[in-house]
Amino acid sequence: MQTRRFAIALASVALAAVLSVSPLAGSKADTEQASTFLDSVREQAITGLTDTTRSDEEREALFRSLLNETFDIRRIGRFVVGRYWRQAEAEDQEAFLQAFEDAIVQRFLPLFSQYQGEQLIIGEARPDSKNPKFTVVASTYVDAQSREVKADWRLLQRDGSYKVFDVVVEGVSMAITLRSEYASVIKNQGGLPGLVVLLREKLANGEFRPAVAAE
Amino acid sequence: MVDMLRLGQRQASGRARAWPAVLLCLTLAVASPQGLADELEDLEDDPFADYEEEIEDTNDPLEIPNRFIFAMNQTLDVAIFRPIAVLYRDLVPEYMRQRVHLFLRNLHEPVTLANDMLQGDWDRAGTTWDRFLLNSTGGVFGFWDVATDLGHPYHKEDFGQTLGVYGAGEGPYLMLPILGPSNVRDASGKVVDIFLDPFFYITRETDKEEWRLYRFAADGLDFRTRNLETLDEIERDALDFYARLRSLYRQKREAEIRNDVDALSDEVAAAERID
Repeated sequence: MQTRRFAIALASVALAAVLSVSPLAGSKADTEQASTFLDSVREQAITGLTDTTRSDEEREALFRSLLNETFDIRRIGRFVVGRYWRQAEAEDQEAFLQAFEDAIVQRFLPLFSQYQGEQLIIGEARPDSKNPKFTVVASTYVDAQSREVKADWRLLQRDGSYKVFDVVVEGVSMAITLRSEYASVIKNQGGLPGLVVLLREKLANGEFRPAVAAE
Repeated sequence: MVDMLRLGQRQASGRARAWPAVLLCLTLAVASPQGLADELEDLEDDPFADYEEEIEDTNDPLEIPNRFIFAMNQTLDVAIFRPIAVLYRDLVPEYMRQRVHLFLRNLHEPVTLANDMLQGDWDRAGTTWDRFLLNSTGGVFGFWDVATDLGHPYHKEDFGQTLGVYGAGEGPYLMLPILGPSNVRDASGKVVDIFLDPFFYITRETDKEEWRLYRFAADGLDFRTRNLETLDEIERDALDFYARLRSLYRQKREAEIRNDVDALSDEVAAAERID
């Protein structure tokens, strides 16, 4: 259950797309403004992605653009590959980023067509105590059975705009978990291309699709 | 060029911590079309530095035997444990399963109490004490959790966490037969917890040692059943299930030692409670 809710929570914030332009750090007024802003954007995005009258292609295109506006996919991708990134050829890096994004789309997009009134309540922003370069936004995800899960969104500021770098649910960081897993895969496969092959295999089999959607 | 920069950084500041940052920034500089000013700024203060340090080491010198035990556990799980859990879930109503869960959880409270006290956390020790008394009486041997409703939320402590609170490192990661992910610290903690538990002495004095096994089995069934969906989901899109579990276990334990997530778990537990 935890993971499913985690997944949906992540997807919901993929909706809260315009983090990238809102000034979350700084004064309290800014923070409030950002939260209000987020709320309205999230509403718009939920309308867009859960709208079953749209074609699958349309919804996927919308999801991808929201995803890239909200999350720093390149940076996350680089991070999860870790020290193997700099040993890899540029084309393998690009191939990985593409497969990585595809896996995210396959994993999270289907959750929106099963949307049943789950809520994501955006809380306050604070500077990351460990590293001031990050801003942490607290949130509460409430599922359709009104169970609550708290998730922290770690944002990185770049050229005056914010993008999500990591999601931490119950003390578990998505970026760190993936990085640790990918490191093991890359080591066993003898390089980044091996990871890409494995990702593509799973993509082709639809194995990233959430269980409910796959059945 | 790269080596020179590395060397220069090291000599100039002597900050060992900057190493991963420097390497990463050089990578970034190559990979992205940024100005030199940007590169230099990144060299100064890379946001990934802490992340790098947190996880670079998988802490798993016994990975080969660990993976072997994991494979055996997986086999047992597929053949025996999971099917029994599925049967239990499908045959026994959720209401009954919840009673069993709360009863078993209440049995663990004395161990939590002992560890609250060993950690010097008297607030939490008080809460645990109140919970045990309230639930064992008003909650009818713990079948109902009346204490949560009365403002004494659930939390769990074990001796592995107590060791962690006093700064003990986790020690090498261990995959225990049947019990699953652990490490030297937490596995030792499990042994100590046996002796912190009045249940051990009661079953000894009354010559009912076999009840330890029954309780162990019941705990296992309860745990496996409650995690059917979660574990399926974690395994489903895993590229390396073993490595994923290892990372999840280590992060989760660290958060539990910090008591970061307990407040949250309480809320989740409260919300999930079915009466």
